[in-house]
Amino acid sequence: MIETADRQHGPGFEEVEKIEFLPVKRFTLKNRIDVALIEAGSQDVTKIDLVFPAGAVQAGRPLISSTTGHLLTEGTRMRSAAEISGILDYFGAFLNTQTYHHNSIVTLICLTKDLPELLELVEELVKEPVFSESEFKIHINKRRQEFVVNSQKVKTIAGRKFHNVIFGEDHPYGKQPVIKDFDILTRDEIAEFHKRSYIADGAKIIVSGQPGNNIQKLLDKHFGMPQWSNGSPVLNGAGNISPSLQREHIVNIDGALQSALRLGRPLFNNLHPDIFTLQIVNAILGGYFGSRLMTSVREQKGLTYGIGSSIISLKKAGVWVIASEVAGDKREAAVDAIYEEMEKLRNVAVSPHELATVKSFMMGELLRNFDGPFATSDIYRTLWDFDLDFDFYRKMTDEIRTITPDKILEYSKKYLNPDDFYLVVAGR
Amino acid sequence: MIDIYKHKLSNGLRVVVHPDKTTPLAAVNILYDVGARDEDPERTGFAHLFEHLMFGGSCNVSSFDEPLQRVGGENNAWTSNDYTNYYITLPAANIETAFWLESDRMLELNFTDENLEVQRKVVMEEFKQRYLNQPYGDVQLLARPLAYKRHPYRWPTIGMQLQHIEEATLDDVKEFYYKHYAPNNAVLSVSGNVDPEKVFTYAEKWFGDISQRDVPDRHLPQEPQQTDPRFCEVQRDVPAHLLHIDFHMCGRKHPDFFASDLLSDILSNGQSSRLVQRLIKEKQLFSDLNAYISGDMDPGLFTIVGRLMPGVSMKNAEKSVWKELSSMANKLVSDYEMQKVKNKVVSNLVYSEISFLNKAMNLAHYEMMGNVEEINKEVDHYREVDALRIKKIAQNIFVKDNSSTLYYFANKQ
Repeated sequence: MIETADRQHGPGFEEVEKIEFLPVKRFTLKNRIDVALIEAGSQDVTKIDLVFPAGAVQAGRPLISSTTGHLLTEGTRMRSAAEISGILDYFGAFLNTQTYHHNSIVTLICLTKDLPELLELVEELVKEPVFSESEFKIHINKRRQEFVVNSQKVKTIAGRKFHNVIFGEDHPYGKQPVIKDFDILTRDEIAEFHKRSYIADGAKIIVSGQPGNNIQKLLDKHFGMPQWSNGSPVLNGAGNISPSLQREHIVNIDGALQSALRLGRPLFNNLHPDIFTLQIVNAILGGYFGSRLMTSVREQKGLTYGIGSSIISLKKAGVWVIASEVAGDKREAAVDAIYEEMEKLRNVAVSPHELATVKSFMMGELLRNFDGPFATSDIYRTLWDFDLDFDFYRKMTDEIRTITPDKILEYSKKYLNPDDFYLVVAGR
Repeated sequence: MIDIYKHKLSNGLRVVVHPDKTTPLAAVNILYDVGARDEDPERTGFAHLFEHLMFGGSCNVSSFDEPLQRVGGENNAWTSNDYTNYYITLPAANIETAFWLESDRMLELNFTDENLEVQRKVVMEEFKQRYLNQPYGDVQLLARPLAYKRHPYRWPTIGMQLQHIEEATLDDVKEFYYKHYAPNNAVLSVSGNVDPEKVFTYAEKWFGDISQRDVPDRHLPQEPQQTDPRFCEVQRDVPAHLLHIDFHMCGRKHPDFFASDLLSDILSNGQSSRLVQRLIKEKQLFSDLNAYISGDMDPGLFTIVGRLMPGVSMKNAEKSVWKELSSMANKLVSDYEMQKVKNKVVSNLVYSEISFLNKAMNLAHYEMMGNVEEINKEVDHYREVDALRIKKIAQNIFVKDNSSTLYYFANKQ
């Protein structure tokens, strides 16, 4: 027998009460490199992140750390760039390097059965790259081209300017590459940076997926020996941020059909206890499709294809930012609408209905974010940078479950004060 | 290899399920057999505009997103030249909510002028954001009408021009809905932590009473065989020249599809591929260069596109690309190179099966093409391709008379 469908009210549902985090196993290699292992998944696939203290902050100047990362695969003492890419492609593996402010991460994703061969290759790439002058030039010329293309996009222009404004032009978080940086960079600087940064001291490894029983042995074999480089990690701090003295920055671009805008404020990072509450305030403001900003600026006014807000947590500071690309001639209307939504949050308590929706959405989103070993390992890696663990998200789920409209009002009043915000526009 | 369970409702709705107990979540995906190719040439961009309107509420549900968010769900949609696809991910315990919401908007949409008015504006901003206010954003707007003269693939899903979106009326919208949105014109797929029998029960309960609609047979004007090379030249305010060459190729269901796909992999999938090694790294003519196939259901396109390095002439770049293409048509690919691209197909398949949402989308696509079971034979089709087949296909495709070349010049700065 088929039940009748109640189309007016819809079916019943369950609240997501908690998130089941995958277990993390920790061990150390013989040379004391810390390893985190998240073993799960239905496929025999492994992801390995090698984290080195080789970020833009340690490098001190734009391009050095990212170029070093990219060039790891462009030739070693034994193999040419073409041979290396041939091997990786033959095994259907992915290898790439991402550069962040405080570290660079070499990531390998491959079928588990290919780990022995590929880890041997990765060891070679990390320890013995040659940084030949010719590969260096090819790479820099390519990057320069990409940089020039991106520099035409209003989104990129606004984003770069916004970081200048919030953190200060000379702060490592605020500093942006300029075309001259491409001209003065040398191959020797890259080799030197590699030597002092891609080292065991200060490195971490995160393994996820189904790496098999042999993984600790394999890692010890390739990354566990004591003397692998004489460098020592540079632990130079990022210093204090110095936001712009001017609140509004407009970069005029003739003929722009759309204006990219960034409206935001400096903030603390994940280590501050208020972060949990603010993540909920952020969700209500612009953190999901049903948020206030999407509803007002897109769904009611039709001024944009998309608008969102997010809290970005960096090691030494944080930022809260609202970002959108809006109709060129409607920029003022869009900015007014954003301030209006901030004011509402500061003055009117969120309805129980809206709060229930946001809570459910956030719990569902956490479930999605923690789905599977690879996604979980990415979150774990970020937490590890702050010396945090999944307890952070237990606190987050506690806060989501217990938060009240009054608390949201109180925090909105404190943190959404328009006087604390900076506006950057690229376009008209 | 993935487990598949199938069921068809009496109104024609096809339901396919793949249980994956490793996740606490589930994906509910509905693929409608309507895309930009089904549009009136005077009303292009309609299938995509319509996708936006599907979120404006249906006869019994005033908001689509809100009740979904209330149960921890999230959704999105995309439109291609062939299909329109809607998907939801949510905690598996709450999948019935997805059946309620999706069935209601299949049953009857709540059409309002206000909703149309706003979504028209949103889509026009999307048009600007992606196609007009972006360096190289208009390449598709230029290349498609060069390659296609009659087939509706001659316009991109966003539409031929802003004006078509601007002029859309509520009557147009209604007509489009009743013509294409019907249980007998859709596939529902579900994957994740679900029980197939339960999914079929929900499908009967929520979709079972939706009537079939008269979906017209598709009679699209087919593209006549191209007989001469085509060229188009533009100047734009961009930093580097761009070369874009389209070739006609077979459709998705043609037996040569798999070999054509591997051919594009040999040319540009991965750092060790031919175009990357020879033209980006050795000769340093391009800063980026790609070869890819459109994968369209009707005969589609094999595209080569790249941006030139400073100081490289368009003629020289074009000549060097043709040299690589001719070599594919004249020489057999080595066993090693064949094995390499096939290995990559296998590993990519394994990686893609990590995501339950991916699996739901693929299931729907395969069922729409005729039979979902084919999904498990895909790897074998790739394995069967040999070097001789690749060479033959390259000989057929890489012919001047089959090419449409767009020279996209940068203004002198």
